[in-house]
Amino acid sequence: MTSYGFTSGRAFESDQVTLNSSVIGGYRSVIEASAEVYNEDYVPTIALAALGIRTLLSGLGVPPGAVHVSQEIQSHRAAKEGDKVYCHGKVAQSSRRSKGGEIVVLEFKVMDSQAGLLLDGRTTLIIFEQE
Amino acid sequence: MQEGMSLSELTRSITQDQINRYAEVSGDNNPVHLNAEFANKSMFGRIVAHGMMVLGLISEMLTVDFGQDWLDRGRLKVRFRSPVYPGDRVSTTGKITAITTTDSETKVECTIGCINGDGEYVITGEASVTLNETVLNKG
Repeated sequence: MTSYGFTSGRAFESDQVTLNSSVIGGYRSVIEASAEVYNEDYVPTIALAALGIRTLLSGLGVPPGAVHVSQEIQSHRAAKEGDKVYCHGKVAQSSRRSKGGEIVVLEFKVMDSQAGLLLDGRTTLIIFEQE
Repeated sequence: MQEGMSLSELTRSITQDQINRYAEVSGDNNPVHLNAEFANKSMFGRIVAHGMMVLGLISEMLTVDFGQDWLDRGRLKVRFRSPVYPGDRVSTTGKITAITTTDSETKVECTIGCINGDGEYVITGEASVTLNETVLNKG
């Protein structure tokens, strides 16, 4: 057990969400994305990954000030605007740092409504003790 | 497409407005990205951009160069090495390190990264993508 309760194996799942065009358009606008493939309504990889990470952050109740150290992402199939997806996340590893705080490794999957895997990822965060 | 070839460089200026909009669409409202008072007391000393937002530029570079193959069969692994601050200008980097073809697939491996205006790497890592054969013939 660690101070924030990020016990390895702890898992959570999001509700099903629709990849609506206003949110996906918002991602493309922020990144100033202009790749031709978006003309066919494909969803940027990072938009899907961010959805998975959002599930992790909200599921865990990560405290403010956490630092994102590393990221792995693997795409298995592209998603399109309008698709319905849901996310699964879990704590893969958690350990105390000698310098204080905690290193937490989290894994997530983004799946379509038929449970087909679209994308998975591994996120490493440093979580600092709160004053 | 061949080993040693550079990927398309993308350059962006990072603004607080962009960071605010990324927080809105991603739901990542960590105050280190949004609240100056909080961020000033953090290890960064001021507001920093979301690492995933900057990583989005690298993913965009890979989307420009590999199209739907990147969205269908791309893989990346990166470290966030230094913070990106509002006002920074960042550029993506990428180079093809290996192309391997088997009976069933062609896989392209790359080094990827992002540098700030001082030439310092803020993100470094590796990516790979399994291609449709047609992409290999684009040049």
